[in-house]
Amino acid sequence: MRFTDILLRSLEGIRLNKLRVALTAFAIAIGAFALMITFSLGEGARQASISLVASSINKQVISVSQRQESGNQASDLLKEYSTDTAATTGIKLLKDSDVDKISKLQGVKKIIRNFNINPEFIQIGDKKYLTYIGQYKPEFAPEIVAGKLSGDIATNQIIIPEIYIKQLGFGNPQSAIGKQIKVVYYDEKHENQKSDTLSVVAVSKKPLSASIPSKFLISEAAAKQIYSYQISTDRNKGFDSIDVVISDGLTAQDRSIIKANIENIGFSAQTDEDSAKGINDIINGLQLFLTAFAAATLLAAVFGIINTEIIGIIERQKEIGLLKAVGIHNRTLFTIFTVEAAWIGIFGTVLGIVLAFLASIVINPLISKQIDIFNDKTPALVFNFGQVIGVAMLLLIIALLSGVLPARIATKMDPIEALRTE
Amino acid sequence: MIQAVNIFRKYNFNGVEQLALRDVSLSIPTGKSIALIGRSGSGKSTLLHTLSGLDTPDWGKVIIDNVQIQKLRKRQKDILRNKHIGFIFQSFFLLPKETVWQNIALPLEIAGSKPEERRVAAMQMLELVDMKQYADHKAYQLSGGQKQRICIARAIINFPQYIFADEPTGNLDPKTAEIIENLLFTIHKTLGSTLILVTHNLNLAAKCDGYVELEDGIIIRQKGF
Repeated sequence: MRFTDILLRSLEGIRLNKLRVALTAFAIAIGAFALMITFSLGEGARQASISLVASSINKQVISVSQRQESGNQASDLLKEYSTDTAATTGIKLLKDSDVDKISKLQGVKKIIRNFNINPEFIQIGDKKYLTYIGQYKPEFAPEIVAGKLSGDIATNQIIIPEIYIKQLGFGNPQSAIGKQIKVVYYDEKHENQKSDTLSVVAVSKKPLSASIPSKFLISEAAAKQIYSYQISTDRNKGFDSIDVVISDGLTAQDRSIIKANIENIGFSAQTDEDSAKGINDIINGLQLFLTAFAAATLLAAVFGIINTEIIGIIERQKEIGLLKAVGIHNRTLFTIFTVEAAWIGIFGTVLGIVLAFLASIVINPLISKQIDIFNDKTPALVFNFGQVIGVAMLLLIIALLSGVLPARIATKMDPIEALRTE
Repeated sequence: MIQAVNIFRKYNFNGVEQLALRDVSLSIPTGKSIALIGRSGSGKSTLLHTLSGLDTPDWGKVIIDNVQIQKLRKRQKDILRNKHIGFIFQSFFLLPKETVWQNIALPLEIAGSKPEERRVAAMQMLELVDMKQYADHKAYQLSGGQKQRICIARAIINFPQYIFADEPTGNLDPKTAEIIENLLFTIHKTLGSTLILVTHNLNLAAKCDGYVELEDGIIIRQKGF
């Protein structure tokens, strides 16, 4: 029998049971839809994370900290007191001697010490506000909407976020430039208060995601000054982490070598790409979890195909008997019924994929409104051509396999019995 | 020539084994028309199915043109039925949603002929059974007599050496039955095929060259060959 005739005859079988086939195909479509949405959401989240990380990372920077002994696992043993560790967390601190060691490594251009500071409040006129204050690093310079930044900022300067401009009574970003902001902080015992008056040098644009806090930024020197006052013991000689800025024009391989060299002398090093990989691992894990649900939907659809095919075969016993009487080979009969199952899979898959595309048109703008890491450039549901083809092929194979049992029933049918059926 | 040698065929009805054919032996010469007659349940249809290779005896041999068909592989049996045997059924067994010409061309489709060749061959058969104008009708649109003509056309499209007909006029009114009988014998003579038919109709049996009468799976009478 010619293959085109096999295809047409299998389609004829579908034509005879339109409603039943349509319902089964719809079940497949739901599975295909769920898989496509899962994969496209994973792809969208991955692309958004790449975009997000790309907007906030600097490939020239490696974050370095002391290698911690017992990770974050809970322990039954109390940690021994040491001025080498942070007060409450017990994290081993970096010393200036460590910085010296690292700064001597080949390819290291500069080291930025990260000082963790906790201001009591900031004051503008009579108004006091609670806020975070971060450390300005030229390598991570935010986008500026007013003012000017060239290299580092002075100890008496501050960068303020655009989103607070109106609340702080500046009217517009430009009018904030040059205005005074008082930063008030306490010593370690919370007994003595100190303040620095800083001048607004620039206004930073709202970050890409609301999940990234908008921080007031001060210079490394100013941060060190506050940190030293807040931590008056020997601890002020240590800090949680440093940012190692590598020389210009180095390749990704060079970066990896420098990172390895830092690790080799006993420190923990992490690039922003490592962080992005961590995010992707979380996304992949979540996607795997969701895929398991979609697979369960598909499993139900597989039983739908088997059921539809078996009922169809029972109803078409006379036809099968006739085909056998006039000499159809079992292999041809088997192919007809597996292809018939494949047609159901194809219809369902195409429907599911089209529905997923249509859903993305409706859902993407809605999600973008709710979750601001998604937008027109990085929508929540992103269809990867390879994934679409992959899902289609997977479902085709599943549908073909679903047709195996019914097709075997058809080939095993006794033609005499089949023709006797009334 | 078709030969049956000491054929036994048993069936299992609700756990009870029953012999449908008991030690049946016969030889049907090529080109003859033979009627298988007897009461319902006498084993006529079982013998027809066994002789045509559609069913396999539990014991004994069926030999068609010096080839023992039990020794053929499944695929060879399929080819034998497709190319050398034509079947006509009491209930027609047409594919109702397919056109008349497609129904007739079914054996050719299974054999792998091209669609255009199939249509040409089907049209020739339709001319032979005087139904050319119905070529593109759907099978379900036809009357009983017309359906049986199509069934005959389908059976002879490969110009088979053997035509097996299971009560070919059993579902037809007497007038239509007579037309179909005449058509069947005309074709049998034109093609020179061996015609083996099962019937309760003694008038139809009388038109054959000979007959075999069965009772409880045993040949009780045989005449004309």
